[in-house]
Amino acid sequence: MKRKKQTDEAPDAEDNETIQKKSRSRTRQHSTTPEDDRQNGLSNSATSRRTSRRVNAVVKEHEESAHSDEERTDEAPNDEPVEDTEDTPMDDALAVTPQKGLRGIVNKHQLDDQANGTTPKTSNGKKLFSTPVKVNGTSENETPRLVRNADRSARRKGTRALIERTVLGNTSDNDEEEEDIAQHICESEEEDGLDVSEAATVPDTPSKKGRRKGSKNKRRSPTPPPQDLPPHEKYFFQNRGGRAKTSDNNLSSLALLDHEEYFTLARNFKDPQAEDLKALQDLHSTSFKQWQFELSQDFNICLYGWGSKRSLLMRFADHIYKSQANSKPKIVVVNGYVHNLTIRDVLNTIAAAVSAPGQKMGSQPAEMLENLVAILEEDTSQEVVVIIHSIDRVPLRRPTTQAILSRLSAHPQIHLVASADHPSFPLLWDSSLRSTYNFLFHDCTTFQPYVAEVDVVDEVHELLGRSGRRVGGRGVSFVLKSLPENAKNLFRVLIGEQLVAMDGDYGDGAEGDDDDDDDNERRIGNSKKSEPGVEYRVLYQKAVEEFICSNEMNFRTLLKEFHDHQMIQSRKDALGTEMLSIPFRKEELMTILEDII
Amino acid sequence: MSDNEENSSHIGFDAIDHQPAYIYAPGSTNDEAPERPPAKRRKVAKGKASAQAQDRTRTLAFEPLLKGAESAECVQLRQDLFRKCWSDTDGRIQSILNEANEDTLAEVTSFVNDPTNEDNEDDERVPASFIVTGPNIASQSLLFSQLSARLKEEINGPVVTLHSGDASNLKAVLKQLIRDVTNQASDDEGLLQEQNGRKLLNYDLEILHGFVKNNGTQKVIVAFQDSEAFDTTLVVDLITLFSSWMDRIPFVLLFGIATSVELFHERLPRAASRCLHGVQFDVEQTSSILERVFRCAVANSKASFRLGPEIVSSFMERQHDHVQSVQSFVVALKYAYMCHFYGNALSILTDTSQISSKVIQPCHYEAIRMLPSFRRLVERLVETQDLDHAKSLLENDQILSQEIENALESKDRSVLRLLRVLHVFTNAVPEPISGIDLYMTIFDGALTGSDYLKRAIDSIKRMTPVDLTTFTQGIRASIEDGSAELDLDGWASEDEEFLAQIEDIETKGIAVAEESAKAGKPIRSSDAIHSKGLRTTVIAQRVQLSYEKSTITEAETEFTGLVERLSKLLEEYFTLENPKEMFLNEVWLCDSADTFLDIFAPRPRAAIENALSAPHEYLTCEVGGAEEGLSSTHPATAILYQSYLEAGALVNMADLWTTFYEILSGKEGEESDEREVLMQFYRALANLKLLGMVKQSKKKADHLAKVAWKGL
Repeated sequence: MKRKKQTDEAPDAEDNETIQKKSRSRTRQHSTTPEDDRQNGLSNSATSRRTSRRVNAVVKEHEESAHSDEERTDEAPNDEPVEDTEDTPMDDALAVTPQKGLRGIVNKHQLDDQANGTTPKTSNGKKLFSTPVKVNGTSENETPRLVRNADRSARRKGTRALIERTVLGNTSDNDEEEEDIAQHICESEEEDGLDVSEAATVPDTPSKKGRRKGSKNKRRSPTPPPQDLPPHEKYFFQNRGGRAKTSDNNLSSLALLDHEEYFTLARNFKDPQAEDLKALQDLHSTSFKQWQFELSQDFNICLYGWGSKRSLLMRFADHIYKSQANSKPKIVVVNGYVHNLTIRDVLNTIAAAVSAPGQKMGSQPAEMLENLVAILEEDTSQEVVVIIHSIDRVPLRRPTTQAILSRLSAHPQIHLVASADHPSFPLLWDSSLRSTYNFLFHDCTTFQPYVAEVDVVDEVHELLGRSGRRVGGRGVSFVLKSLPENAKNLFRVLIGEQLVAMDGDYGDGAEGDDDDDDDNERRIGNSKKSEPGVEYRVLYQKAVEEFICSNEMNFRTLLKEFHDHQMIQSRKDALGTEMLSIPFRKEELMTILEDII
Repeated sequence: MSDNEENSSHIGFDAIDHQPAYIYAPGSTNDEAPERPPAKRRKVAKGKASAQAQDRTRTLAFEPLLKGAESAECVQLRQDLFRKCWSDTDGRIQSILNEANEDTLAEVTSFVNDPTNEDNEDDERVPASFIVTGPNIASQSLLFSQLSARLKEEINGPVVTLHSGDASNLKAVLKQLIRDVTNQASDDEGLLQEQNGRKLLNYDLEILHGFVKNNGTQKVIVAFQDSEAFDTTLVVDLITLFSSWMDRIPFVLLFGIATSVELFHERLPRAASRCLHGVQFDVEQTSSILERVFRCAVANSKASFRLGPEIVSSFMERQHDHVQSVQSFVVALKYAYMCHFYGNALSILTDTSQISSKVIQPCHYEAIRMLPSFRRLVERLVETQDLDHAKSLLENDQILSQEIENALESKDRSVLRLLRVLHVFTNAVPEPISGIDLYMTIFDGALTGSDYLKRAIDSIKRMTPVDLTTFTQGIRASIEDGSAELDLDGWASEDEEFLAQIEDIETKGIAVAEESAKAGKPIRSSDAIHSKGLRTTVIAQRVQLSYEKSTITEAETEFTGLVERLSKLLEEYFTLENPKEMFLNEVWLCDSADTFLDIFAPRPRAAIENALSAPHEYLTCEVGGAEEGLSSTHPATAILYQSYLEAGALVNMADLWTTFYEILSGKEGEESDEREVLMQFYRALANLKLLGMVKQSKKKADHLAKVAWKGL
């Protein structure tokens, strides 16, 4: 909420600011024109030096801004250097952006610059040359240090980022920040005019401003991204420099589904395409006989394509079972998507299918495979069809597992029918494995929903960063009830600390939002914003102070309990200190806190 | 507990779906539940049919084709034909493969048997053979299985093959080694555990020592199949350990090396390489084996059906670019056989010996009339004004069957001729030609205008009389002797005229050669001289050229005549019918490469992307016109995927949800519940995650990072 307000206010402030700056730089330009004209002749050679010298320029920039701070009290001090250096060399980059209003502004800038008879970039270069190297050595290195030392704390971060950027030469952020500013400006311009029409056309949108997603909303952006780009161009277009422009909408207003509701809805849901899906499935099942023939010729089969192939494979199993009336074939089904599946389960089940129970199989998979082969070879008429659903899912992905499976499938008495879901599943196998598997691939696009394979709610909540089963924090309350008093107290302390941290971070975040740093820095800042945590040491101290635990062992045991229930997360921050956090949102934390107090 | 109760109340939930692995019993999956009715219907239908028919369908792996009109005999015939044809071909291939590695096997065996290794007891170095297999790791396993079978036969001692995949640490390797050795020979179970009353751990080489003593084993052979893939420290540990046991256990090591011995040596520290003394063995490279397999399996005169140039070239491209293994070529070949006999109802005509007109059903005639080659035949007849014959072919089955018989007979002859030309050409032409490429050219009907022929003729023109005679001798020999690889007997009696001409040229050529030898002057054909003369003109004056031309002697003009005669003769001889133009070529020529690519080299990504971006190609979607873009009738995941495609690298989930909701709630006449749409949104989003297309973004709250770009 706070952040939003901040951004609403920002445009005006910055609008003023840019204008102010413009005038400032213009005056400077006037004062130095003679020199500048002289320099223009040299500018070809000078441009190459310009980048290396920019560091100096930046330093000088500081000095200047420090001096001018008094007159511009309304601005946050650390905004200044960033924007000052960057307001002019942006024009080329800006021409690409789809914002209408922006164009106008850019043109205005250009006009201004041209009116002064200088190239857009001269503000940097001019300063460089207007203050000769000698000045650099004398006045600059002595006086500014004092100034810098004075307000280092305020500006250190920005300076570092700037220096890094200029030294590393990654100026790609420039345009993005410029766009930001410009965007704020156009937002303020457009707000009155366009919002009305938008609200009329899109009545259902929960929040109107969220519709500014660039490529998504064609009505809004005057120059939509080119539509018929070849795939690689599209990749570069979408990954081009600068921050992705997405709205600040979030799903906080949306009540998320929990498992119970999801399953109730899913059960009652009537798929309008049910008929089509069935027809598709029937179409695939006409090739059952062919598959069977292929299996009989020592090939194995792998099905791929979009949609769950589970029911299709089960129908195939049924088909195999029924087509051989006399000797019932052994069919072993493996659900590759089940999390706790191991290769031992597979081998054990196959062994159980072909032999009397109680056979010794050994413990190592390789050993088990050999024993299994020995059992199979006792009776060569015995054939086993192994059906593996989702052979490319995590439990079976390990290379050793795949090696064992491939050797198993190469046995003439084993027929393997597998399904694979991931678009890149062939990467699982090198040429050796591939030839051992001896797969024939069939495209079986079924469009069937992945019902058993995917835990939809958990997956989505993981994407949302709100880990699944703890959504709403209800589960946590149950867990806490069963825990001893000490644990409850510790959790209470942790929540309290985290809430405090969250509040603090929101404040920081509002500031940090504008002082667009280097990419890395932003990421760290963001992650801090999204998951505030409590330092391990601090929490321990608190716990000791409150007599929750007396030693660290004790403390660890308590934490372990929380870990087991996935109620806390532990991570290392950039400096390597261990941070503990509870993976819930603020509101949820509040309710939990109320519950335990 | 409450969880369980909840689950059991869920209709859509079955415990068996979440069981890691189980033995299938019919009806055990609830998935079948909604599909029960058709299953039952199937059963009823079967019950109605006579028991006999049921019996037959059970033994028949093939399906009746031509919309089920094909009789059971035909189906049976196809099936039998497939078995016969493939087992013949397979036998030939296997013999080649065994032969190919024969040399290596023999060398390695003799090395292992080498008595000099045993002489010096105190030598702690382990004898090792480095088998350089080349980069084709897929064929290593075949080589090593052959090797271990061979060594087991000839040497008194166990052979253990280690794979890098199983060898995680020293203990595991030793365990496996000991287990393999002790199981291989006999089953003295007691030996494993106790010796002299003391218990041994199952990775103690003392067990192996005991085994060696008890069985009088001469050698214990340990093979590292893919030695580069092993952890170096593990290999080093094993080598040093083995060398320390050399005085008690006679180890011999085999290393399969894909790169080169030097590289392998570099990886080993000196301490380990000091413990080895080894010999390098090279294995025949895949390409040459492949060529041999190709000749004997595809180009063989006894092979009952041919692969067309298109399919061969796609096989070869795959072979060169991707798999590089003979096995995979064989597998692809097998699949081509399977396809031909399984999917082509006319494949019953493949083997002419078994065919009787009785088997051919009216539906077969109908099918034949649909063939492009039949159409071409009729068109040809119409062009030559043979309208009656054309008409009767279309109308009368009797006459058509006559035509079929003729066509099949002539087919045998023409294919034989193609193969003979293939053989003569490869043998006669001085520079080596890849038989596979030549096969493709010949079966494309393109030899006449091909570079191969042009180059061959050009080279004849530049020959000296002696070269010419050896050349003609080569041609004669290849015609008279035939080829063992292609199973061609000599056919001198059939090509008498051609042979006589060649012989005539040869004798005259010899005469010319003798003359020139007497005169001591080299003789060239005028073409060769001309080209020489041309060269001089470039350098010197024009006068010189005319001088040179006038020096052509009588003998030379005679020789030039000979050369011209020969080149004409050969051009004529190498003029071939295009097999694809022949009537009924569909019966014996298999040439559609599309299916094979997808079967062996799937493109799952393209398939999935296509399914999601164009679901109307699979489902009716109820809107006829909507071809591109979003439509509320598409499946939920497809809708989400398409909006995802439009978004940039960072996707705001809230906006995604808004769009999704808008599209789905925009359905006319339906007031959809937001929660229900949300459920579909959840499902679709989870599906995208399953496909690895999105992941959570740390940059912004509730944002997704785009991971996959369509078409890349």
